[in-house]
Amino acid sequence: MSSWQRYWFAPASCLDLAVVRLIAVATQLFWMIVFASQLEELELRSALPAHNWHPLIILNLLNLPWGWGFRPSFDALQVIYYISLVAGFLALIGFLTNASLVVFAATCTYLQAFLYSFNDFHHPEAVMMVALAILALSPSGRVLSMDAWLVRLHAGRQDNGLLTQTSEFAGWPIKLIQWFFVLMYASAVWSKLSASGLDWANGFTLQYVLARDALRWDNPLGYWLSQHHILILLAQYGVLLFQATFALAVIFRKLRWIYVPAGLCLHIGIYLTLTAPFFQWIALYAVFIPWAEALRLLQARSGQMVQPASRVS
Amino acid sequence: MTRAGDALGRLLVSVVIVVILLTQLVVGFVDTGRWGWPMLAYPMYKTAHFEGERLDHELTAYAVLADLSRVEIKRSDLGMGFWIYWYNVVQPIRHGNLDGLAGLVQRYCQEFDNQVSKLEVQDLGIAIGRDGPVEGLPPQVLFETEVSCP
Repeated sequence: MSSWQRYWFAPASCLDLAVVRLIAVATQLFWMIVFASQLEELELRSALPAHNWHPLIILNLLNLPWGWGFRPSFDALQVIYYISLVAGFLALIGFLTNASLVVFAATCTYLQAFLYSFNDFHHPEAVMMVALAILALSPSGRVLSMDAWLVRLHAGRQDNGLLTQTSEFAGWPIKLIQWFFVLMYASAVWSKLSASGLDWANGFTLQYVLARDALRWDNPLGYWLSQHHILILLAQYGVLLFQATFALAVIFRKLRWIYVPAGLCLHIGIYLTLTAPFFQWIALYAVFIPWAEALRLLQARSGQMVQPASRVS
Repeated sequence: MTRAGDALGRLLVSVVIVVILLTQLVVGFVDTGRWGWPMLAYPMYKTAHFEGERLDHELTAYAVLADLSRVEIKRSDLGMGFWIYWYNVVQPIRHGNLDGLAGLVQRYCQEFDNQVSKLEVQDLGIAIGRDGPVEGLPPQVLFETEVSCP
């Protein structure tokens, strides 16, 4: 077996993948329904005049049967939105998991691409679209799903294989999303250094951004932080170091104990101070957590704790 | 799955892995803007800022008429949220993108008897200092673009 095969197709826990599916789909549904109020946004943008319409290439490709540059009506978008919600809920409960995920990934991509076809675009959503597409091609419904429950029911099995079930196709989606994070952070650090050099980490850069976004979005925490030059200067070097070396967290598993909390703090901090909601990134950090191992460890510990008690009784 | 099916599956998945990683690698380092979405570069906050630089947290666009009076181009009049206004009004004025401004120019020309001669963007008069925002500075014209009514 080649090292490529050994790396990407080594048997891996189906539970890890299923947990990523649950977290990713739930986050995307939360984003659509609650945080981004996507239906209202679709209506707002549908009303914009034709000269603001600049469809993304992926939207043009998805609309190809109706012609290049086709602009869907709000009625059509509403239908797609509700199809997307249904597919999302099915993917969440794991019913016809792969088919549901295919529809969910495609419709989410379509709707977000429509929203970004008016010159305005941002960075939180893209990785989630890619992750949903990757999950759609994986055995993410092998456990923690209606599909798995139906298979067990049909076979008359009791054991759900939650902690024991592995597949050679369960590891690659997780590893691929991990490397995708490496490339996103590498792009971020490259952009900063190629555009501004080490001048970027002068303290004033982040002070400026903090103050600007604090005033723009009425964020008192960001405004307060923008007044602390030395602290921000150090934070900027920390960001460069984190983004430039994130690959180490994928290569050396033990380093995830440092990089995962640091990354979560970074993105939560960005939300609290810059009001930039990278929830998708936070959610997809789930790919760095070995859920099955953690659960086994918890089970073993709780077993150890129960044993002395049972001796007493 | 059969052994042949597994092998085919591994081959197809390998193609998916290579395509996704290579595309992201290229797009991430050669910024293609928004066109390749969802494969993107991540240049958020890439620009260095320096002490004394004026904040662009809230920029107001104006149509300047022939008599040099100014008419504010309000987000609410255009039915735009912050970012749509930013990318479709502020940025085209900044970059002198007349194609991007054609619809806006046409609208304001019609409304003001073809008297619009220029579009400009002003800030609110706040700069960044070592101890945080410095407020109370006079507003400044940051960008302007000459236009002509059809």
